[in-house]
Amino acid sequence: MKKLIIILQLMSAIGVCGQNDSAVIPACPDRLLPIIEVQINNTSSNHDDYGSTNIYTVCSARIINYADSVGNKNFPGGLPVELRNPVSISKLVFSNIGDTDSGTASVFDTLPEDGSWFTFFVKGIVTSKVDKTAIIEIALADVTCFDAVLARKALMIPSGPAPIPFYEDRPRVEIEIGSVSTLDDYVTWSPKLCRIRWVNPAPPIQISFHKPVASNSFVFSQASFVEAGNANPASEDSTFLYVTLQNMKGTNRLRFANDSLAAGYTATDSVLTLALPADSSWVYFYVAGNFNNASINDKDAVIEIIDAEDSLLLSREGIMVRIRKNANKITAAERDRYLGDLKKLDLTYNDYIDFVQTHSRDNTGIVLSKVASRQAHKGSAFLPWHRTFILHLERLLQSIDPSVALPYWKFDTSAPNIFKPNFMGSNSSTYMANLAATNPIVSWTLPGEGVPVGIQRKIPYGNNGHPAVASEIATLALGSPSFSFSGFKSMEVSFHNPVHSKSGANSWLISQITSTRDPIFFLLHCNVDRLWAKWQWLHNRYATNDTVTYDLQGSFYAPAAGVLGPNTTANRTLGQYADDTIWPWDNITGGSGAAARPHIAVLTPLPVTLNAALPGSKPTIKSMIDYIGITNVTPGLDLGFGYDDFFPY
Amino acid sequence: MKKIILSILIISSSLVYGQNETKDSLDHEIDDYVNNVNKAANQFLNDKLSAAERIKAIEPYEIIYDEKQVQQFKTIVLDNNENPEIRAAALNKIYQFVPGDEKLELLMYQLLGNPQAPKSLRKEALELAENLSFASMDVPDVYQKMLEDPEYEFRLFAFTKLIIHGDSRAQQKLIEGLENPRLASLPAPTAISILSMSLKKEFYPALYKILQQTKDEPTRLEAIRALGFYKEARPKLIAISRDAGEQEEFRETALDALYAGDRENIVTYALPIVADMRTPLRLQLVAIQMAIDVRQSIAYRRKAAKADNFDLLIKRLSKDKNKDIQLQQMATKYVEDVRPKY
Repeated sequence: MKKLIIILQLMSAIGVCGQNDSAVIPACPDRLLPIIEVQINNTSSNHDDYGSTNIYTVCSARIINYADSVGNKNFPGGLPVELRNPVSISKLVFSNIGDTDSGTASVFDTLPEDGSWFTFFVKGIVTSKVDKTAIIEIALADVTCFDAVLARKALMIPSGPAPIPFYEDRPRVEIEIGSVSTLDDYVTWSPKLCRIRWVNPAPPIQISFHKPVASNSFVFSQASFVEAGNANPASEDSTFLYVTLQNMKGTNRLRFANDSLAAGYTATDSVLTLALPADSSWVYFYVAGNFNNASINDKDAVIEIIDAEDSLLLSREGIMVRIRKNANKITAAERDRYLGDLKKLDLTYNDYIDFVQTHSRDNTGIVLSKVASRQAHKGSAFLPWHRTFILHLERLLQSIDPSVALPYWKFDTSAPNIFKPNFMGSNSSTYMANLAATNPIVSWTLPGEGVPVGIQRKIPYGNNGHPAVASEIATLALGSPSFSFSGFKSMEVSFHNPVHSKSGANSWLISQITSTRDPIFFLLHCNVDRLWAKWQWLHNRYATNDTVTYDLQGSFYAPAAGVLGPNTTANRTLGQYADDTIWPWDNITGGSGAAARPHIAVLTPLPVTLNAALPGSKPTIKSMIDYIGITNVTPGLDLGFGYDDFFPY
Repeated sequence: MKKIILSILIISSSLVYGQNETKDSLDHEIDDYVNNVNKAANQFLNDKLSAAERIKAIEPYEIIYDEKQVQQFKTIVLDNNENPEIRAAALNKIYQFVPGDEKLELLMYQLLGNPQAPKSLRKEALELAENLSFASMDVPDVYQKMLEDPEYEFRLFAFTKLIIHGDSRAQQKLIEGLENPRLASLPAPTAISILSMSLKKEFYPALYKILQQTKDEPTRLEAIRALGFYKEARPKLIAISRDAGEQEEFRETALDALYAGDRENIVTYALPIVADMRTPLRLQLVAIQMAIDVRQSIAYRRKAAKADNFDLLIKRLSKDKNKDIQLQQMATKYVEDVRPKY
């Protein structure tokens, strides 16, 4: 019973079944996120998610959250959408009539306002040998809010027979990662709650059921054994379908756990066997990324659902292990996706400029603001503020392309691949970085900022060098021997400041007022955040009420016992204490003295996504600390990011 | 069954052990590192050693950790009778303890404002100022004095910081230097690049004059780049971008400037450039990329009518096998991303 209550609480919090009422469209944070369900061949099971280059495959989509709790339409008039391939994956043509229509690269249409199914058709352009490599993307095509991806459904255009043969009497299963929406089919090292059910247990075909037999063909995990035990596996006539979850051959990106996963742990089993009841009720489990094997492309982490009785493949689900990676080591495809998305964020959403003008400015463009500056610098909030700042940008990028994660620039070592014309640009004979003509950010421009096109950066350490900053080890050692936050936070000066100040006397990076103009800013700060996260892991600094985790406990108005009170000179101001909300996301402005906030807050609220319920739209300092949710009572509540160089469990 | 459970437990514990091992080894590495730093700091503090030996001992380490040693380093920095090289080396290791320490901050400003101070110490003060000024919104008075500093690095720092903070005097001095090179504090291209960082744009008219008069190529290039938002310069920029007689870098920079200042019309500016088959490849590619930037959004594509001249030109390029492969690919990218209604 306790387990059920926890699961129900979690479902409510993170939106399993698509009930997350707080998720918004990141670029339009006042707009409810439409939860879209997509089906191929009109089945909720993935067993038939295979298409052809010869004939159209019928597909359908609908709005799940079409009405509010009292029946009012959430999207009156329907939802204008574009059906298309994701950028750089042109494998399908689309049609809204099918039949003999030649199809096009994209189709504009409207999903019905009443949640009924909308039918469309897809046909392959090329075949593939790998499952889940063709993707149907549905993007919002509203007049005022557009280009946000609402769904991505993977399928395959096989050259021969589909990998899952079609038999009417085969068991079919439906699986949901997070919710029915595909927007939360992205995992990190933290556990994500999922569910699976058997959808066709009833006649016409009577199926006999058997408990799974331990053999060399599969291994019970400890967790799955408990699950099977609950299901009374001793009974031969048990009305369960036993399925094994595993990685598709050649992937191995995922790990599994059953729903009894304890708080503070993550999924670590390579195989999980579950008993699916014949009443088609859902069975819950967790999935997480397999450390050292993060995804490269969307949907390249494929769960196979195997019939545990006869080892036959029943279904496959393509998801992604989306992790922040070392920018110097990412693939060309990952790099180009990131750059293309960054440019769209800048020019299509016109949102990048808000980041430029929030960092030490009053959001009014040219007005510099000491109050804005101190929210983010020279104080305890430096790390949590910038964690929020980069998370906001990352969530916007993921609205453009759900497969992208912020890369980081490990700036205490050489990173020659970053300082190339095809990435962040190399040194040139002028003060501007040299960018390749084919680089999506070749004409980097900042609407409203009034600065030249390009990136003003000439690094004195050269394309193959690195700035003289404290090394990673030196920084992780800060605060030794107690390793308290009050010691570690000085990394702002020893680790962070020099990478700015040593990157060229008249490079944009050298000042907090201009540094955000350079898109490398976010790679730089992703690295700063990575090191904080690594320090947290190393010294177990997740307990948000502990002064060793964060020094200024309590709130500005009521500091915790023994904690220093407000002082403007020492920057113990509003926004620095653990329970304070963070400007600009809290949209609190004005005031005076140590309680002053900047006069305006444009970059607000923080987008609440389907993929990560935390930290909410108005984060506090405290809510930004335990980013993996390791101290939460229930697993699966986290901020939705992780790093490639350490496993925080 | 017992065997299975045992296997599971072994697998689980080995996973946990493996992870702890990584954490433990990193912990040990950190402990060793701190011990080494403490030893090196002690060597540095040992005044029986030569200055060279002391500096060599601490040089590999960026930070010191022991609070007592930090105090001793501070004492060295503030000791006017100490060897300046030693003071500079000590200061280099305690940057994070300077903010809020009035004596150290005062010393830093004194050194910045005193060109006669020992070079090594002054250089360290400049580096410290560069570091701390990143996160500071204060503009100390000494920056004004540094505008006349005999050393280039000090002038460059002061001009950059003051201009970013909107200082009118610094901006005026740079403009005067552009108008009269004999008064210039910094080389013209450097001065223009700093001016263009400013949020205040009072320098446009003077810079436009420079663009029309200068024969110096680096100066002209920076002037073209910075004038995209100056409407009076637009005809000149258009002319440069289309002029086959201009160097490619100047043409591209002019097109960049037009893109910065008048992005809505960039396809109009790009069309003759892409259509002219004498245009260098890179410039064609950049021009098409700009068009992709402004046309790929749903907002544009939904309302776009029939394919226009630019769309038709790009379609031809995408299918022309005689064209450079990069040009074909970029044209194909345009067709895929913009999806004109042909």
